[in-house]
Amino acid sequence: MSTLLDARGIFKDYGRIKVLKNVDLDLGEGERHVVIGPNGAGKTTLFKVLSGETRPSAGTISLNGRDVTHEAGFMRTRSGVGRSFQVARVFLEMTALDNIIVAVEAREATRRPWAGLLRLSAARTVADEAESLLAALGLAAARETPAETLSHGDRKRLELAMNLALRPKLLMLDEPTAGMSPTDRQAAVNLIDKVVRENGLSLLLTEHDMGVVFQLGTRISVLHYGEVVVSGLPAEVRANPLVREIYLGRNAGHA
Amino acid sequence: MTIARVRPAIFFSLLALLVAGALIVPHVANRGVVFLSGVVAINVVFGIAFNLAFAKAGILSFGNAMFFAVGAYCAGYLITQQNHLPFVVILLAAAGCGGLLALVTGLLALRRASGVYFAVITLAVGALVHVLIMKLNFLGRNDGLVGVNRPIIDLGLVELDLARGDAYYYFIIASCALLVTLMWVLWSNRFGRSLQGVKSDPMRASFLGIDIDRKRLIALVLSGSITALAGAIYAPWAQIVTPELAHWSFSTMPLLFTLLGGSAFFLGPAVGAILFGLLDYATRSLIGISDLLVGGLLLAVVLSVPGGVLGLLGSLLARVRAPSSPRREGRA
Amino acid sequence: MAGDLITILFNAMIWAMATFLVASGLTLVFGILHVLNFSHGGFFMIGGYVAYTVLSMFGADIPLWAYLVAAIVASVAMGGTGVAVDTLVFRRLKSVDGVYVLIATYALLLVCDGVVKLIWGLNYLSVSPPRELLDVIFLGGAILPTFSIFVILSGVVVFLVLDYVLNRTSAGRILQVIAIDPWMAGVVGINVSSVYRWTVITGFALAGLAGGLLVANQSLSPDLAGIFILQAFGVVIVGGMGSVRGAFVASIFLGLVEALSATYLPNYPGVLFFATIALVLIVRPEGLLSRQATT
Repeated sequence: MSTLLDARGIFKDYGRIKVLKNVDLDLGEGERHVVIGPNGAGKTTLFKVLSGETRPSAGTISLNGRDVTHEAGFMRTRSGVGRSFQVARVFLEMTALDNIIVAVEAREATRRPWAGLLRLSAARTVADEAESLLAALGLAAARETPAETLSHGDRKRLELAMNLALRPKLLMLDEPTAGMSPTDRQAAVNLIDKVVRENGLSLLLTEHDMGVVFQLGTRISVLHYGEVVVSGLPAEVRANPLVREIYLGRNAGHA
Repeated sequence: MTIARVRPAIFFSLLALLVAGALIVPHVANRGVVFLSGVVAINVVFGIAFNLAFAKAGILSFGNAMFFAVGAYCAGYLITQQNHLPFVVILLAAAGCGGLLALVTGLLALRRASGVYFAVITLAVGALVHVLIMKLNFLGRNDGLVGVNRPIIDLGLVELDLARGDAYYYFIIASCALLVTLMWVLWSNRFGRSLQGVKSDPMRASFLGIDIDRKRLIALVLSGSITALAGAIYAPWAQIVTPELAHWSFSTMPLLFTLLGGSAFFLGPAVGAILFGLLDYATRSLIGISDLLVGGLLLAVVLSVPGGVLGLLGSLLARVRAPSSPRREGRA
Repeated sequence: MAGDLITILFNAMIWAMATFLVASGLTLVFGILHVLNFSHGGFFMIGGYVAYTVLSMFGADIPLWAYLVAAIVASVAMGGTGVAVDTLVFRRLKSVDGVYVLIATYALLLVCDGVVKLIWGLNYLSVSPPRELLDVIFLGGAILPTFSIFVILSGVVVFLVLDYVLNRTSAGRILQVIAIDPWMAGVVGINVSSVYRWTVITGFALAGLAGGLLVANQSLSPDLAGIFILQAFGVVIVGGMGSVRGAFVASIFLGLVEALSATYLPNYPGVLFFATIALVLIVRPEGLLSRQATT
């Protein structure tokens, strides 16, 4: 199993506040690595650093063996990383279909920057691909609906569809089930499981809900006050007394 | 409304309508009206070039007067001092100067400052350009450049003498129609859609692999160079180029056209420029109120019809249609 | 040599305090309402014209008390205009994108230009300084007009009063709370909308006051608004957007730049000024004197 993402010795300070302290994290191809930790542990900051939204104060990040520490987020996206946000970010004034079309076109533009600029409407192949992504994620009915009128859960699915449109190797999902009802949450987990399996993706996610963590994760790292305190197989992490103390103790009922 | 399916038939029939209207003018109106009509055509390009950056890429610039002035001065200088150059080369040089100025402004400020701050910076750069124009001897200082003659275009076999009769007017209409079409392509194609993504949610766009700084810069440079082209086309039409073109108050014009017509529509600035032209003509006898007219109108539009005339028409149409076709909702 | 240096420093201070008088109201409104008010320069200019009209009753021989009364009349008139602008523009655009507020104030500046042209015409008008301030003082070879000293002192006094009110009084503390978090201020029972209104009135009154105090400092023309608003913007940008102390220091800094530029680059007025602003924006886009944000 080769390493897809490798972060070594990551520090991140905001002024005097140290959010991440010497974090090591790696992700092998086909692995599903879940980062858990209480609120304020630095999960979202770690996500920002890994995806390129912000630069680490120290440490190195490599992707497919290439050092991307100082590479902007869009460059990492171009080399195969899809990323979602806690509150889904989609183009609100565009229809669901247009959102995906823009994503497919962004992928195509990276590959061939000058091709097809004289074409006005989206190419047939692009539109077909977007349609099938919509259908695959169960959004076919929302095709012509502006994203601003979609429900929270539908926006999350739309965002996932846009990420799939990039044909990524690695999918980074920041709390994909946050704010969902238990039923919706189970459906979301099944959907993520399905798309990861079907597209042969690797997965890095942060999550609060222990049910989700143990259903999706093949490896779990626990972040506590900006440090990785435990990293291992789900069973190991579950059995770890330290983790029980700082985290699972309060949420054990969900698991 | 989808942005992925574009219907050229609608655009081209509207453009044909505008061009046809413009072509009739010399046959039915006096020279003053023909001049004004040429200015309106140039203003259409001026307005749409502004809106390409404003509505599509979310860049508010108060410096479009400087792009216009740089284009006009570039053409004015080359026509008066280097009149052996072919006119097409002069136009390209003007577009290049405007694009370069936009590039420098964008590189300095676009990445660091967004929205309101960028607008203030463009105003400051515009003021600097205004000062330079007024102080540089070869640009005629306060007096500007006079005697900017209409050129002769040598096409090898035939010569087009644009100085004769209404020839330059027809040249304006043709070149403006061409520029509008070019901007429509940029507005509607994959590039335009990605710009819209950058404006709508820069973070999402960036995590689709779009280089948002670069996209914004390209939008500004396109806007600047096309505006400079409009200025270059304007110079021989007015036959004089003055520093007023670079004054900050002139930068309100494309803003007014855009907001008056409706910034959400590609042809919004065109509608705004035409309406303003009519209004300007109707109030031509009232000397000295042009600032009051432009400022008051812009203020009124921002305060009461933020969607512009086309936005207002659109919502009226929707209200008329809504009760008559209740089935639309059911057809999801 | 010493005379040249004193002249440069003196000119720097005249420019600095004249600009600070205009920038003070601009930076106050920006600091509290986060509205960058282009039309501020326009109302400063109208303030000048109002004072001119009041003073034209006295002919060429103007007593100092009349000069000050004219400035207060201009200030009150512009404060009143502030109520209208707050009601018609700022309040109506409260929920709209900031870009549209900016466009509205930009349009308002043009309206001010138009109003001045319509009422007072295009010609240059001028007012002579009050009769008590027509002397000059000689200092080490430099010639310092007493009226210019009056302008400098006016700027310093306005700064000291504003600084005292903002930092030493309960009203100032309320303003600072609102500037940071208007929503929270509303929750704890501060009438935010009324504070906004009084801030706008104060800002506009300061514009009018500046117009009145500076009416003899330069000739009046419809270009005055554009010139001063750009200078004031420069001061506000360099001073760190919204800080009165920052604006005060920035105006002295830019005054020095301007005075040096006038001495050594007399043919290109403003070039060094804009170049400095551009440089500041490149090096520190948040302004030269702003404290680094902690969040």
